[in-house]
Amino acid sequence: MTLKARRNTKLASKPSTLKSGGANAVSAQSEVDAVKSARRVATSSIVDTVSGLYQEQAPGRGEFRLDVDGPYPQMAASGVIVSGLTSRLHWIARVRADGLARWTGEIWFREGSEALAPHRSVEISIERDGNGLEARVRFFGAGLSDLVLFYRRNSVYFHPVQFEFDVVEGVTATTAIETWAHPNRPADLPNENLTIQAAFERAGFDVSVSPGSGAVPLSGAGGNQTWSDTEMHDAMQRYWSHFENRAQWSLWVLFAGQHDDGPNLGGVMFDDIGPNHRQGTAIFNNSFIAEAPAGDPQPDAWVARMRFWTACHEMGHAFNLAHSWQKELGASWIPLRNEAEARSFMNYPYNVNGGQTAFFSNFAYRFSEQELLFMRHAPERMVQMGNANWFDDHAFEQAEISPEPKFKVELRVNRDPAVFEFLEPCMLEIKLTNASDDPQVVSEHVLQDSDDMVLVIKKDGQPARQWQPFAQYCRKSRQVVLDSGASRYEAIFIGAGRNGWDVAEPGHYSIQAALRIAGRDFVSNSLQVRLTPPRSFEEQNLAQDFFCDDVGRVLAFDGSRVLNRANAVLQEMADRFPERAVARHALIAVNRPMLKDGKVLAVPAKQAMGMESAAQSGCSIARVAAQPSEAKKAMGAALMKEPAKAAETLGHIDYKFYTDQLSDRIANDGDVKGAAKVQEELFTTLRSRKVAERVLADVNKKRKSYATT
Amino acid sequence: MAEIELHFTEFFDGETVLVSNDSGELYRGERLKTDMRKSLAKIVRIDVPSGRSTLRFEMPAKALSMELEVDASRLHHIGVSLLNGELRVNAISREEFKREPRGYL
Repeated sequence: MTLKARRNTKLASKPSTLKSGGANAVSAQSEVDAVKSARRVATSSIVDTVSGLYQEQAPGRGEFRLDVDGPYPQMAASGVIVSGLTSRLHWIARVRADGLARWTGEIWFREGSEALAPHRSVEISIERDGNGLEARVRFFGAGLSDLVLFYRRNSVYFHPVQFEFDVVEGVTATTAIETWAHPNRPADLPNENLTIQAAFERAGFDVSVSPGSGAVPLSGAGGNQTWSDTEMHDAMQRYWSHFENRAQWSLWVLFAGQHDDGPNLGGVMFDDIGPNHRQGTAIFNNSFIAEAPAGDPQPDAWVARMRFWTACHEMGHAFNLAHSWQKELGASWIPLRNEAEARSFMNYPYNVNGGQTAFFSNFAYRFSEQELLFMRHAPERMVQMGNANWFDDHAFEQAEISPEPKFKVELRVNRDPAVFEFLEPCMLEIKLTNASDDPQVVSEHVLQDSDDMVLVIKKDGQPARQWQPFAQYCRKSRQVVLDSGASRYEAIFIGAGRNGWDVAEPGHYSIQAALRIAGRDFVSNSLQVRLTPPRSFEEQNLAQDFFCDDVGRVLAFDGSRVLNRANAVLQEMADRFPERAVARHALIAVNRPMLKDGKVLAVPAKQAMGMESAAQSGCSIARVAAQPSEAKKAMGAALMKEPAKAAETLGHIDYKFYTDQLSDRIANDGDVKGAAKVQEELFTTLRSRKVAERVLADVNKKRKSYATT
Repeated sequence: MAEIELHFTEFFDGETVLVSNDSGELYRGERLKTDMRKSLAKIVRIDVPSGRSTLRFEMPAKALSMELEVDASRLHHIGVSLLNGELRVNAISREEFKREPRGYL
């Protein structure tokens, strides 16, 4: 079957080596050999099989894949165990039948949080009931208590995938062939009209073909009418109806005339441009694949077969498959063996002993065992088109997001545009709103407890990082009622954490948060912020001292009486750059502790001893006296001089917090009028920045309270 | 003179290959790097004497060299690869290409 390029053009609505996976070093060859005795060519229905994709029952979010029957069974089982928002384990086991509808085997691949299932073996039982198939998966061994998980099958395939076939005008697409059209074929090859869709269905994929297929103008190839990789990538962005700059189980296939490289290139997986690779492939009809061997008995059938084969070959590259003779190269996900003689879509027919005649004489239009194992069971990010490191372009892929969320989570900054100066600590505000019609109960500290909050920061062009706050609080929280439409707010300093400084280099950042409330995940908007470059060499120079762990801690904890080196750096920042936003943060961090008396653990200087208590070491709790005059002056400069700028850089929540502390100290020192004046200034500033009325009411109330003292 | 094709194919990773004959250097392929998607680094066309001649292929950095006698009138292309540290050159005639069309995918 060939498709003629239609005249109806449409507008788009967006290395071939296997990736490493951190797997155990297990010989893949033994795994592959174990399967060969169970190999079946699939022509019959797979409805009665037990293989396929199973999903864990809610509230679980895991997956399970069983591969013991159906087309080319690999005698494998794999799964993803999910816990919380970020813990996941991908595992693969080789299995053998161990009774009626039961299989057992050893786990030989793990990637991720191994603690989720550190067991050695797995036992799988399948039962059929009125609702379909249920799998009971028991992890056991290694002296551990069993872990039992339940799943229900929701597909006879292992992954979904969508193909879109587009054709350059004047070219025909070959998306199906008659398998008996050419006499050189295996004797037992079924006589059928084989489609590309069916070939990949037998590989284990639930294939859909996009109805958006259409014609691509030859003008996209430029004046020479041959295609470069860039021209094809441009065409893909324009004409592929599912193009997106993100990973997806979706692939574009272009049937074209010829590549710039000339007739020697029969096809290519051209997409190594942009942030997401392996989404586009092309087949070149006017290349060597259109030249049947001299004397071939059915040259037209030979050409059709070669074009069909080339399409499946290039599409295999999009699934991240390497050539058959190159499996040992690059960073493979598991140790692989070259398959120079493989009768696979991924081999070159003319490279095997006996050439293409020998190849096609026993080629069954399939992928090899180790290729099928990879396509079906390897971690999704290794196979899926356009995929990258975890989280990149996925946002919270594990989040169980309700279609009707009760809560809305919002990340924001109190400025527009969201631009931060170099060295300016990045303060965000997180807002949780009850989006339902009913009051909802939440923890009092829902926006402060990091156990149920995940915040991810991604700088353009770099892997995403999960923000790890310096402190984790173990406390008993009260439950509070959040009325319909009401919100809670919290300020977050996301610039630094236990991971180091996450927001420090100039550039563009995407920041997103997810909250887990009552077993459901609520994901925020993706906040875009920009950090500007340094204005001077001096800033660049001092940044080396500024972006250290201790300075991050002092800023996060609003001051320290003991991290003296960090305090010195911050003081220097305030002295050298008094007009820069960082100066306000520095002045507050250095001086806030001095507003009142404090305590420090005094450690005598002596040789380090073995393990002993603080008391045994001669430590003591020492009182550090406040330095209120100095602290008030410095805090006043940070908060009251150009207060709008102070509110913008500190964020409204923290600006009010620090100003309240300043006014309380002023009042405690007997100057209630001065304290009231500070609150008055706070009120004016926050009102001009359109802060909520209830906050302004609080400020007014505090101001008046000074008048009555 | 006749024009022939040189196909620099597999396992190159930044090497330089010199192609010469008795008259001197015919081609210098610098920083050749195989595109694993196609198993191909580069295809170039060079002029060689018509009829039979001997071409010398060298990789000075690896002290590798090979000589190949070719008949330009019957040649489809010369494949050059670096496999297991060995420089391999292989002449594919037009007759051979017609019997077994080949290329890169």
